[in-house]
Amino acid sequence: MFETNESMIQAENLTKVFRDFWRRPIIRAVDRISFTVNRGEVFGLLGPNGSGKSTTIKMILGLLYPTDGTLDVLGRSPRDVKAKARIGYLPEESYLYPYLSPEETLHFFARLFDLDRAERRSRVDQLLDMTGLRHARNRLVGEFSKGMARRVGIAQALINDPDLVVLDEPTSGLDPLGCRQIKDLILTLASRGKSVLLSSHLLADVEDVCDRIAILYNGRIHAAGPMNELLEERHRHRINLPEQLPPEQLNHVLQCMRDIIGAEPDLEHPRRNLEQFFLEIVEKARSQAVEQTGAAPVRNIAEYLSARSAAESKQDDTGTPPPEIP
Amino acid sequence: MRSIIKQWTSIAWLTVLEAIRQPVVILLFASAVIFIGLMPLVITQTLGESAKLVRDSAIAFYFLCGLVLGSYVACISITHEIQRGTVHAVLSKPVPRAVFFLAKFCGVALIMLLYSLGTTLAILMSERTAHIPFHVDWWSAGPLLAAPVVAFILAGLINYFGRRPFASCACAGMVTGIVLVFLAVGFLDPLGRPAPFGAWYSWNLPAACILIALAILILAAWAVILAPRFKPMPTASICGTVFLLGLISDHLFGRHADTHILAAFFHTLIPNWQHFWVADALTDGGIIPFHYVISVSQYALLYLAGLLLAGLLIFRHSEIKS
Repeated sequence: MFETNESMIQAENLTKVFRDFWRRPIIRAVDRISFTVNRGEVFGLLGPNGSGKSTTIKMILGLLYPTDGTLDVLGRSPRDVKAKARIGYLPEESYLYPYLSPEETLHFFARLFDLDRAERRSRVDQLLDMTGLRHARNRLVGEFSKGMARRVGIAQALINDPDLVVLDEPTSGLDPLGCRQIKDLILTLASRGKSVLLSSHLLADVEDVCDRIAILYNGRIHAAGPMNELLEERHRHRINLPEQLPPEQLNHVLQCMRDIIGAEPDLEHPRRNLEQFFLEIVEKARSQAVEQTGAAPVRNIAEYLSARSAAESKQDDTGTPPPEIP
Repeated sequence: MRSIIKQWTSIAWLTVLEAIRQPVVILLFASAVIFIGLMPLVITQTLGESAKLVRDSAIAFYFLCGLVLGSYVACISITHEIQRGTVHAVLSKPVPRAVFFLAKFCGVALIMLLYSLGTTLAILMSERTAHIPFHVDWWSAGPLLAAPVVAFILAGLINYFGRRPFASCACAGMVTGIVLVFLAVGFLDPLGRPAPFGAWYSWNLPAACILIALAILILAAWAVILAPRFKPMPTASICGTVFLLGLISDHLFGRHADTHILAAFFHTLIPNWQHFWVADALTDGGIIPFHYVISVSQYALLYLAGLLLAGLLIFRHSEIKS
């Protein structure tokens, strides 16, 4: 990974109080939270509904203003448009124009970043390929299923090759193939030194990709830290034995353990996880399928998102370890 | 600066595109054109003074439809954008709020100008249809009524074969069709014989229509500044109230403006529609002086500038909640 201590988001005692028409406080959505997201880090914001995740994200994007505390995004105020030029944002719902096609939608967002025509076309094509929407590029987004609309939302968030990617429930509505691709994408972005702020209810997804997390409840952070430190059970141990261990050797190991610890060890066969199993089955089915009606099979990650920039290559030449591309 | 202009044009163009792809917009536009086209056919056969009746009714209908269309387009372009959340996606990009707000208004204004162009040409052709009492000029009425029908058929074919959105194709086709038939019919007299271009059109009508277009723009601007704060129904209600108060502004506030500061304030705040409604001046071949059009345009532009500036100050510092 490509983590440094350069902070991309720095929140100190961040507070947001919503008020009614008469300016009376009605709800304290975010209550004195402090956290930092570093360069190259995948940071997860977790919490039940109404815990303040989306409000925090909207403050980071300058859509809502903090009532108290300080918030720096890419070293600037969140309301500064220069900071926004380096941010990619996927909203919680797929906020898209229903009367535009995916291609028109991506061109529209690309023009907001002042990309030249050739670059715009190239990125739009790559993103349509990456999200499996090339065959539906001229259909109106309003006719799409939730999952397909989500893919357009993800594509628009990445059109500017952002340094900071804010993903609000990125896998919501996506099939397991799409979820896997998003997770791969997040890891690729992080390996290129991009920072990702992720908010999700799907804890398994968060666990797969996040370096650090913060758990919010009622607007306050109740736990925060590196994923491994938070989840590690230091008082328990697991021993992994080599594959295809002959039964007599296994019995010998178990006997030794019984003799040493004086108790019966718990022996289990490891299981594949359901996601892995599902992906294998679908991959087999896909090789036999003739026609596709929904979103096409997901493709490789867009070239401009996975390729290293000249600046990064130069950094490598000066001795920084090369990023891993999963 | 270049990127600001690019953002501004993109958002304005998107506003136009989104609006003309709404079925309601094409229905309102087509209804206005067809109603204006049919009006002389009904009136000419039943009442005298047909040209005046057709002209007054057509301009009134153009004004009324324009007010509804302007409020609706402003609502869908801003209120719906906030409710749907697309504003989050756009304002999370490096788009200054002033650019977003003004581009939205420009998009709405462009649609209203397209509507005004189409209906003004329709009014000119409709007035010509009823020009000779108790005689219908089919050389004018026929093509005018055929234009929307042909546009709808072509849009249907393009939608079927080219998979392009029906509503926007119909809208573009209708404006193009009306302009083409207006130009073609201009070279014919009521009996279908060649004539110098525009000899049978009443060229004093466009000035009245321009003033109505400015009034429609002012009401659309009201809707645009209200839309970020209110839902569509309250926005439409406030616009309706501004419209009604503006009709009687002189009576309610104007006569007390010199003595009461509040009356003077409201007389300034509420647009005075009497300045924009000049159809009566066209009776018996009357003309609207050019300097009057210029002075009302100045009033409208200054009013628009003030209104948009106020809207901009409110929008610039408001939080975007969905």
